[in-house]
Amino acid sequence: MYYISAKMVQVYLIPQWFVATSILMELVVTLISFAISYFAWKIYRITKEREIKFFSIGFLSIAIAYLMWSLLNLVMLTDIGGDIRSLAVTRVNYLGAGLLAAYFALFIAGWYTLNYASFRTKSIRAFILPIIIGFIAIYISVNKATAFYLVSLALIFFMVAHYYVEYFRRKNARRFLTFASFLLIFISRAELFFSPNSYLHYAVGHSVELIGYVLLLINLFIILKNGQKK
Amino acid sequence: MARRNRLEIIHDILQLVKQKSGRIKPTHILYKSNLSYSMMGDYMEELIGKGLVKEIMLVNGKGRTYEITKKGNEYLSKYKLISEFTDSFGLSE
Repeated sequence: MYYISAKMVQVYLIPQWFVATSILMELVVTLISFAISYFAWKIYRITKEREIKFFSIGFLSIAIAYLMWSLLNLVMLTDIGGDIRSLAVTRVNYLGAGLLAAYFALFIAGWYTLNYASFRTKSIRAFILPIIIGFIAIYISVNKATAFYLVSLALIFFMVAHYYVEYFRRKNARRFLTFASFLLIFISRAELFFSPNSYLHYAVGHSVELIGYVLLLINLFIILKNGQKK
Repeated sequence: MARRNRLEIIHDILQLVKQKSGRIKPTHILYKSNLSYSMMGDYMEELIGKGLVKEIMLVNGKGRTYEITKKGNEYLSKYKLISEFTDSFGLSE
């Protein structure tokens, strides 16, 4: 029984050999997300389109969330033996709790903001209400890690569905690349859902996630290259 | 002909305004932009609000013309990039 309740507060297990790689991957994802946010903001400044502004804010929030995650892996992992380390909600100090809460909140807020940008609505209530519900659901949950993974999976799933529809509305390589990127990020999050039980899921999930973000970066390069053409 | 999205319509209006900068009247935009009167009014209001065009009232008080702003010109010169970005990330209607 103790084993089960201890597991319930585990956010993930991570193999010792993967810690440095994981931090590096999180920093790369942070930079990619910042780059997307920055270019979206530059475009927003010209067009003043609301959706582009929220898209930029969403990626900024995700970028900071990944930065928090890398800090958590840098300072808050606990050695549980067998060359395995873990991040457990009950074993973090105030700094760790703050970082973890910031990571959860920024990640959820970021992904919801991307969803909101795709809704093309001007209702600010449609923006605030689901975020508050998401935060409350995680806050009151006994198993915060599972609640966080489920809420983020749902949010990413809706983005995948959005890009699936967008791709079939007008097929082109760039739209397919965006769809594929988000699909990989969704798959990676599904893998990470099992990371409190097995470190292998953490390593696989994290690697797939990086590929997803690298595809987004490639897409950004293609856009910038094509955008220069007259 | 494919349906134009919002950003394309804005681009087309800005092109028109640029071509006849300072001399284009609402009726001319209406005629050339393929929009209904109310839609054109909404778009012009939006473009003025966003600082992409400037409204100039005629001295005799009879009517108005439009002029493209620096920001409007930037929109036109970066339109390819804007269009590629919004299309790729599903941000265009």
